[in-house]
Amino acid sequence: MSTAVKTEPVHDVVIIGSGAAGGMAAWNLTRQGVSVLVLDAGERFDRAKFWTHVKPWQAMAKHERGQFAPEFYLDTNEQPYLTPSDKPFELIRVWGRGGMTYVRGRVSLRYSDVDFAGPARDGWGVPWPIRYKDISPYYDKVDQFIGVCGGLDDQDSLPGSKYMLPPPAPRCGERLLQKAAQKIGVSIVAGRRAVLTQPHNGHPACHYCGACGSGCDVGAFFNSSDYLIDPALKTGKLTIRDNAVVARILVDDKGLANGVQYFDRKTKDERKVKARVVVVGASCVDSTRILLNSQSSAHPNGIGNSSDAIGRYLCEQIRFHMYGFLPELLNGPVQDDSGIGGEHIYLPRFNHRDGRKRDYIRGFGMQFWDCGAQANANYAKSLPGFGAEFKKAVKQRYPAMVALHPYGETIGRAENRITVDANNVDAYGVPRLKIEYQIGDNEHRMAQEMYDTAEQILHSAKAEILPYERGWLDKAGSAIHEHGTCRMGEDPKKSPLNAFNQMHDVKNVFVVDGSAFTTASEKNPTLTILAMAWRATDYLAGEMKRGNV
Amino acid sequence: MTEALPDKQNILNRVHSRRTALIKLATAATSAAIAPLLAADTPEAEHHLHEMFDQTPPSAVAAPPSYFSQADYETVSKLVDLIIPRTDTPGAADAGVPHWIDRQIAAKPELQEQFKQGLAYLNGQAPFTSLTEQQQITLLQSLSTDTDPAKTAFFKTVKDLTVDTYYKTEAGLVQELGFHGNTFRASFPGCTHPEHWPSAEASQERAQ
Repeated sequence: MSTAVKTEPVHDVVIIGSGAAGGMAAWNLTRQGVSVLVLDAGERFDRAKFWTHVKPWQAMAKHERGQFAPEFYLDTNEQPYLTPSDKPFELIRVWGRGGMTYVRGRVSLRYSDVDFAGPARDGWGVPWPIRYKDISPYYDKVDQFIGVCGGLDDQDSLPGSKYMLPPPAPRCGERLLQKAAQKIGVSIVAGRRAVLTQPHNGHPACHYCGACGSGCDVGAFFNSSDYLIDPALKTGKLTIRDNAVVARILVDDKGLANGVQYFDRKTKDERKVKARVVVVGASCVDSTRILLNSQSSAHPNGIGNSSDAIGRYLCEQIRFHMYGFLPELLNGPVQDDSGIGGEHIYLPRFNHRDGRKRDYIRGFGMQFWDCGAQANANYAKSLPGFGAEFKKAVKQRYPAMVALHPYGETIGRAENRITVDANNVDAYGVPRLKIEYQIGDNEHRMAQEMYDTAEQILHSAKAEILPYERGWLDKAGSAIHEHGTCRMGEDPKKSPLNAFNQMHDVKNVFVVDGSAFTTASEKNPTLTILAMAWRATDYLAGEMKRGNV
Repeated sequence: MTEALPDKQNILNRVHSRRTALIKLATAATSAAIAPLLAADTPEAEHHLHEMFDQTPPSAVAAPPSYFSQADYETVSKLVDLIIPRTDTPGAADAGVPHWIDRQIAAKPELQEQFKQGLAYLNGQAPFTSLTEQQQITLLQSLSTDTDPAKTAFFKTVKDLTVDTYYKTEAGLVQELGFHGNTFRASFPGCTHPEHWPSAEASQERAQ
């Protein structure tokens, strides 16, 4: 080990993770001449092996022959995490080049000042140190760089963009939902997604096969590996090390970061690299694990954690799913509803507009994936009976299904936290992470209005609603939108990071993934992670040039 | 584990560059008339290319059961056919559902006891397959509404497995339901029925 330390050069910047956060940091720093080492916990995914066009019956036959689709998700058995038995949390992670971006939902929604001003307005949590005007130039740049399709709408809760690719035409069920919502005064707009509806920056256009979740075989939606890491490699300034499972950030006797300790996932050997600056982008939960495990005499409870806020205020999002069948589409012709994979529409947050006081704070939006003919008929399990009548009932409804998926903000609470357990170590001898998380009263109260809204839209559409249990919420963790455990804020006593994702306590450590979010909002985070990481690394590059870090 | 498809990406890349080259050629020659033809034609070619690589030999649905006894397999075959019978399209047994359920139960020990007890109940008075179809339906109806949760759970398991599997087969998903997605398309028309649209959009369309 010690010889490795001696022979390793000192890298300008070591970046932990290669997903949206780490990938953006690597791309933006290398193009500005900074030499970067990226440590990624996995390997490159081979696009030629994706099962994008394998039909369900072909998949069954392949499985029988012992063939399986490439596995994107980390096997929990390899890297277990702890949860109290009464507080389950479903942690879904991708360890590999590009991280979650190969398989994410691609929904690309800008945060607004309704989001950024939330804590300042209602007093819960700490205020965001930035506003929309600070980040909007970066949203513009991200939209142009990665390609986001969407409409021309511009709302207080969902700022518009001048740089949208054309939106895909809504499917029949989506049009009818727009119409039904309009009748009750709710606006459903064009969805916004990082899917290329025309060729863009050298990447091919979407071919509307709808199987994005299997990984795109042509790379027609933004993924960090193809869109960020590959161009960064071309600069000659980037080195990427695969299968590097980071354990700790190392510090000098002044408490500044000077390197990173990691373990080779294949050999389990310990390695250390030296760095002037460390950028953390390993996804919210893994970044938090690394920060908390980076203990030293200068940082006894984890690096940069004098606030004791790291690991606390974990926010996910609440959500549920309702399904209905629209009378206009029953027995109708079956269309190819594949489209760009997810929904082509979106319902932006509106609960702040009518001035009525709620018994909860913050808000919700709604997504609509799986409207129309799917490559399954899972709804059939909820239809009664069996036999020829049952078979007919399934077929009649097949073209007519609509699906409503409201997403609600979860507020950050100190007791919803990630810790590391020194008595319970992983395969590398490193303390495992423990997640203690519970959906709170505010969320349950918000869920009532989320249910009201979904029911009103379906009733307005005269839909037959598939049986559901009102109040039910999806498992904690299932939105895969973890945020808040290393939040930004002006006050170093309450927030580990400043307005540029830089640690208040340790000026040469930046944290650029979802953990940096002060609040979670109801929106999918990737677009904002990209914009924030771009902004943070612009600032970092400037500070390095000025000799400040 | 997965099939080696060494040349797929290369060929796809070639198709993409060929497509780009052809479109460039068409544009350069200002022969606007042939550009749409090319655009429509090449995704088709890509589609066929994909199909070529995605050829999967049919599975051994006629193979003997690996978990169930022959008698149990016949009972399961009858059960799934009662749930999704043959009509003008194949039924669950035609579609090979019993074969897939057999494989799934073999791989899921947690379901084996449920099947053992459930099948024993159905064969309690007389072998299930020896009953008339009306008797079988009556028995299945009482199973699905029984006050014993173990019995309704067994019915639910069989029904869910049947639904899951049947609508994954080509017979269920394509022949019965008419699925024709997950393919290459040059464009996506979406909903072409203005009567389905919200008023502003419909009137905007009419004004154009």
